[in-house]
Amino acid sequence: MEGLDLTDFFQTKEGSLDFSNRLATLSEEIYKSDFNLEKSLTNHFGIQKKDKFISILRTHSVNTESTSDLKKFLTFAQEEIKVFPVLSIKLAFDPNEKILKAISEWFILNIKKQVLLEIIVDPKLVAGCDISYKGEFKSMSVKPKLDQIIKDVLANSKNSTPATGKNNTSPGTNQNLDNFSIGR
Amino acid sequence: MDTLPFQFITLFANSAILIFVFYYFFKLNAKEKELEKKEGKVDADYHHIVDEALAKERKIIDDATTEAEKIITDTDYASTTDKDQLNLALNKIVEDIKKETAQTGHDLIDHYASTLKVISLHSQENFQDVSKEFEDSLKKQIRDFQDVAKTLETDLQKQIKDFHQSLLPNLQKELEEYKTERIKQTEELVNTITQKAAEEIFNKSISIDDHQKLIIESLEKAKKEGVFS
Repeated sequence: MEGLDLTDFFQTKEGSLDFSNRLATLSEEIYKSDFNLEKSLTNHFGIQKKDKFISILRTHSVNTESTSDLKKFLTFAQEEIKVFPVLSIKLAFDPNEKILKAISEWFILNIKKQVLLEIIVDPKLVAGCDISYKGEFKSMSVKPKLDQIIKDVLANSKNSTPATGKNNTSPGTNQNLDNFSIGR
Repeated sequence: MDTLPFQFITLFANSAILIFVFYYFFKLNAKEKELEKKEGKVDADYHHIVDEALAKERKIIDDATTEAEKIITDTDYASTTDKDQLNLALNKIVEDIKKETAQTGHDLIDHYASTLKVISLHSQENFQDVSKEFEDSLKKQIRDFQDVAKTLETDLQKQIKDFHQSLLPNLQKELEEYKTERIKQTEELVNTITQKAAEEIFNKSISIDDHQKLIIESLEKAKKEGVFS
């Protein structure tokens, strides 16, 4: 079987667990006498995703009339999901479905495999992202550059500020001991 | 017949009683007469004695009167003489007392005047001593006060000198350190605020599409750096 693209169904690690549980439920339902695949898929994933799932079944030449084929594919899918690599990605904002899908599709397109996204939100990043993949970390955010720019600007503004004179604290003539006397 | 003796006895007895009564009256009459006689004699003796006593009394009174008159006469004479002598003596005593009193008073005034003079002299001396003592004490106190003031002035000058030599440089140093520290803190605060402000401004000023673009660019860059191989 070819590599699975389930980006239409889930992009994150939590989503994959939910999808995997639904597949497990579906696997149990196929042995029921009144089992209806389309009906069950609609119940579990909704109409749109049902069509996409049937499309995947066709792509992988699964005989939908065969209970054993269905079972075999469902088991395969569950096993595949388990071995999807996890990409820990830190973003400056809470991403919507569109962005998550775009990221997932980028991985399908560029490295030919789906990844499970582990999303961390940190507004300090400003923009871009920090990624951690298979033990390797890479900071690709705007934050370091912005920090450097602010630092440079502040340093420049500090250098341009006139220095405070230390000599101003020296005692004046009115504090001179020679001019000091008591009474008489 | 048998009662005849008894009648004789009764008759005899009655006769005896009558005889005794007559005899008793006779004796009683005789004694009365004798008593009257004795009474007359006693009365006469009494009058005689009383008359004699009265006569003697008159004589005694007369003698006493005569004697008394004589004594009174003698006494009047003696009294007049004594009175004169007594008056003289008393006058003399009064004169003596006057003289003595005048002398004593004079002596007392003299003594009082002399004593007063002595006391006055003594008081004047004492007052002079006290004044001198007071003046000395006041001079001493003024000297002490001048010494204290001088010491105070010296101490104060020393303290001010010490302040300028040791405390003031330290104070200036501490002030400079405090100033540096505060400037550092302020700079850090400014940095933090600027950073947060910049982050928020940039974050909010970037659109979702731009964010997505930047993320994809980041992934492209990571791919080029071999992160996903």
